[in-house]
Amino acid sequence: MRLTRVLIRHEWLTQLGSLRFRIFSVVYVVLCCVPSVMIYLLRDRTAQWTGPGTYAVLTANVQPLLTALFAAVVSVDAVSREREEGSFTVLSIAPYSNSGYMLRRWVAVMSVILPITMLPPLISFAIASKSTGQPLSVEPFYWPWLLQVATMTAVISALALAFGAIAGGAVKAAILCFILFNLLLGYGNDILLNGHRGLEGPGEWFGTNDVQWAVSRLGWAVTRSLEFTSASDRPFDVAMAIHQMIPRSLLLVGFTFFFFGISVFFLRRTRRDIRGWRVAQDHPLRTFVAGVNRMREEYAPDPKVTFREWAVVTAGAVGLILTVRALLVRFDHYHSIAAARFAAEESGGPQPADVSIVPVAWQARGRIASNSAIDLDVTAIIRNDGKKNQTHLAFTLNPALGAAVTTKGGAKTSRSWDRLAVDLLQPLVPGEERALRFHISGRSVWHDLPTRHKSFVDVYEVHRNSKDGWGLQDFSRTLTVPAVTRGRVSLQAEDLFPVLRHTTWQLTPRAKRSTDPGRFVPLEAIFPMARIEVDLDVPEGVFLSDSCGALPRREAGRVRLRGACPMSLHHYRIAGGRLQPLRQDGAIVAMIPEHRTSTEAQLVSFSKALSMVTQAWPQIDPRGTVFMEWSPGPAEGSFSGMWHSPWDFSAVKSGKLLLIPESTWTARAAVPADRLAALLISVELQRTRPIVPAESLLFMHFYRHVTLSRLGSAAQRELASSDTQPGLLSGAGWDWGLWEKVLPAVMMEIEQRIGSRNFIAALDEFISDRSGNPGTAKELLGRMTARSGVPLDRIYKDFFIEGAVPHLTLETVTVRRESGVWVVGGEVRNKGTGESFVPLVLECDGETMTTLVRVDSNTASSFTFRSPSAPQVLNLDPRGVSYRRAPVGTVQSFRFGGTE
Amino acid sequence: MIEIRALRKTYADGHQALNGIDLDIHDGMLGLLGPNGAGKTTFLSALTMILEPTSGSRIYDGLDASRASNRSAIRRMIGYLPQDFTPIRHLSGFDYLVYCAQLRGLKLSIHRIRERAHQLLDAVFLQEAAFRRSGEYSGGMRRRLGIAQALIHSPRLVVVDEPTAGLDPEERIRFRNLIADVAEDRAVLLSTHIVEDIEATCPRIVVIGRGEILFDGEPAELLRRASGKLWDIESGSDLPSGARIISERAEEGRRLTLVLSEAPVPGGVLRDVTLEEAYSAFLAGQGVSRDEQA
Repeated sequence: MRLTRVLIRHEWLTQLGSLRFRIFSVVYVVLCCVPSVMIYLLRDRTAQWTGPGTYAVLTANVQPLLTALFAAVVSVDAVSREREEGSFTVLSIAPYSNSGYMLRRWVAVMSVILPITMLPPLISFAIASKSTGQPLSVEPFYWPWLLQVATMTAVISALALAFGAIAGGAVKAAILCFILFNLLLGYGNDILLNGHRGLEGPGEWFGTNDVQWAVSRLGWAVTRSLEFTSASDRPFDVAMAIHQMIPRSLLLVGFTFFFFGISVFFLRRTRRDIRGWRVAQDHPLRTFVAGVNRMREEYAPDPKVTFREWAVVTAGAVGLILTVRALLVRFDHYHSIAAARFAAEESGGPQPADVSIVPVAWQARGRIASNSAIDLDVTAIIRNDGKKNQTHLAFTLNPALGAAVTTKGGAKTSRSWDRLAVDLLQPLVPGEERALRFHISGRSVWHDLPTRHKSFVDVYEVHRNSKDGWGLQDFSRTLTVPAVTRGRVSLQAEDLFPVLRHTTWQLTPRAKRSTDPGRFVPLEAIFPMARIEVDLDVPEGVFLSDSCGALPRREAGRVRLRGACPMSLHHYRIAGGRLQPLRQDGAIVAMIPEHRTSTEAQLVSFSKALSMVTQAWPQIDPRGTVFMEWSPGPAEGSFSGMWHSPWDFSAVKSGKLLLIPESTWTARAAVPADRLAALLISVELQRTRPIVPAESLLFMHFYRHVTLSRLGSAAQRELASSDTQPGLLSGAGWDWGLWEKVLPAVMMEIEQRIGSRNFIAALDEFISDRSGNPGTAKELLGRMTARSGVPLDRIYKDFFIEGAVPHLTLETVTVRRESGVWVVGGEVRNKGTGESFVPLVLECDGETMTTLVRVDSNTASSFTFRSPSAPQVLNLDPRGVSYRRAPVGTVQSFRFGGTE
Repeated sequence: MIEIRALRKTYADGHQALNGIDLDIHDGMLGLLGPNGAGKTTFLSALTMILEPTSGSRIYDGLDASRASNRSAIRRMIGYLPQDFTPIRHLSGFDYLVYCAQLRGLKLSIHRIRERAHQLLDAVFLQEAAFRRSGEYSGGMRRRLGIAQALIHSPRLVVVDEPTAGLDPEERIRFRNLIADVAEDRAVLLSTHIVEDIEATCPRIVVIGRGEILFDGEPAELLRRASGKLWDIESGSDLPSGARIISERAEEGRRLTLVLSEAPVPGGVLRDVTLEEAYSAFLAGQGVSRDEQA
């Protein structure tokens, strides 16, 4: 300890006396603080309220890389400075051991660097406190420093000292380190290739991408070329951060162990005797061989080292082996998970449950622990609504959860990845209800495999078929993301209990217009209603709610969540986190405590949304709605991924639970109340009148657009952009264009044909039907036809079943005068598919004339206008009420010059 | 006692710097003389364990340097002032001495270490500059700080390499007296090519040439060997066979040549021998030039 204290004191004295060190330190601190200072200065120009998380994450984004550089420079300088200025000769004749000196010097160097690395988070914290004007938690500033910056300082200092001792100078140390690391990584991966494994380098740990993003975001804030997006203020997830950091850093840690151990051989550089290769005077490579001789002598290790030095070298080598071993164990663990997922997804099996099998009631009782452990008894009552006996059931269940099932007559179960197939030994006869009892246990976690947002099956296939290392995935980088953590609870239905699966699991390529046409497992698109009841012991210290709007209560020393409501199994979820609840107009508003200011600004929108619900659909009672502020998931990263996605402005509605992204919640602009209301209504309406499972997705979006329309804020009507799309009844959940463009356009087409009054009356009639029969789109259109007398069979066939897209264009338009009357004639041609009733509007001097033209697939219909006034312009559907496609070359307008 | 036996060092380029050195070092001053490139610095580096020899043994008070476990104890015995000594320039002279004392494991309290540092700074006449950055010291001040650091941990052996080179005469005298004082209770190995320094302080001289010990004895012995063999003659005069020119000089308008010859030199004047001349004569007798790169 005494020598350690001496070296620490010495390091402080020499470093503080060094102008070079003082300059480096100031530059380092300034660069680390620049983002926080910038965002403080620009805080009023951002579209979102910038909370403490933004300051913390901006600092944490840039600090690791800068710390690595700073620690490397200072440490190499520390070990090589005395050599370079010639003072080490004398110091080396001291009775310390090489290993003792290296270890203590490492501690001494860290004692100088670490306090300086603490300055940026402290300054950032001070700036954030001033900016927000409220007391802040130090955790978002402290933890990234401790986990990322302090460990990086330790590793890089050790590595730099090691290479400084080996190479004897800063530049030589950097070059040698780079070469050796890449050689080891390259050759190491060549060896690992035999076992079809590959490990990535530590680039991610240094956060080079994070720096790039932080700079880009700040650039946006300055130039306003894109919107600056704030970082999340959710609590820092320490366990996840460690879990994420381990695979990123471990290889470099092992490398550091190894070379730090080896460096004890080189500290004193006593230049043991090396027999130089003899080289003849006229040898063509004389200079080269002589150079190699000099290098051999220069880099020959000390010959006389003690047992203690050997122990350190051995420990270093063992450290490298253990870290690589740990990475490979982690690789193999996650690879086996990936292989299981691939096998399941590629197989496309099992068969989904027949749509005639509907869930009646789902009861879950048991315990959810704070470490995401689940122990539930689930009673699932199903019914056969079809006309045939059914024996095959299929469910989705979190693959990390185990399920044991019992039922009347017995059942055979099989499991693959997230699929649970149950084959009843005694068939479920038509109309029969049967109870299945599941015992669910395990940790509800998901594995975020390194697929880089591409199709998992495609990525894994490339990995599996890789012969030369190209395309190999480093599965050690997989993250296990628990559904329940200290700061965030995100339990979806399949994280709790088996959810009936009606949609096929067969892999499907995404639509051609998608940027990633890889093969994906289709999302569930059938959402039958069931009565859900939960009675769960839940963790303390977090705010929770479920889709039924239930809140946890303390009973007999336990915290229990008891909820019951009818809703689709698939959409049920329990969500929560370190949130602070407020009551507002009969609803609950749960916010991140740091967001009190922005929440108070949004409360108006929430109240407005509640009153809009009553205004648009008086029969719906929005009380009990839970508005919950929702943060990015931990899988998106604890250090770097806490940013909101700039495109993430949508809210998620699950029963009474409305999850609003932080980015929307903290926006300076008010949350759009009409969209909130539409979301609330769309789900509530489905609970009012059950819909056949296969059409529930369509109706969810249909109701949403109807509400928006009633509130006077209908979606922007746009012409279709593609002529290949599915029918509305077979649309997939992810098909944004279908639900946000095609569906509103088709709805407008219907409303235009039958009139708004008939449209609303038929819909009200449909919703208030109490026959007990689940509703369908066909029934709704039938009611509209009955009201209006306008047949809608073709619309149903063209757009709901077949996905037709009319492509309308004006052709052969002529203008002539006959007996003092202007005659405008021509054709509307439908180059696409589907029946269309398109309005044509002719503007003449002093009057406007309109006609409706029917045009069918690949045909043309003629039209004629007669007017005493001179025609000016002919427009095809100027208000865009007719659903159609208008590619380049389409003629939609004809302007006349007042002549024939 | 330090025993050096059959010490050899061959560099990677094939240059043989030490070629079997045998030497015993006892308490007191030992002067090490040798022409440039004779292997003095290599020898001192091997002696202070900065450089690993190719072969040979080094025993320090019974501790064999070839055993790694002995090295810490041996290093504790050694104080070294290298020819190109540089202190840590950001530290003051005082802080540097304290650091050296602590690094070398001096078993004293920090208070006593500071006292000792002050004493040594006083002894080397640096008390006034004690708290100035050592990087601002003059060459002489640095050397004096160098001897202080070599002594701070009271070593058994002090090795001093060319300590007076480049110093002004007054400084040089002061410095060699300082070293002589040190040698009262320990072994001091003074390596230099300034014979006057050795003459003034060392009762024993070792001459190294071509990596070997050419002479090991008292200065008087070196003088005795040259006595009656050095002649002054007019430059350009004929020399007897076997005579060797040691040096030339101008004196009272004449150019004189100092000649080493066993036989009388016609026209030559036998002269009294200085140690410097005796040393030169010795080297000449060995066929080694004082400026020769061995």
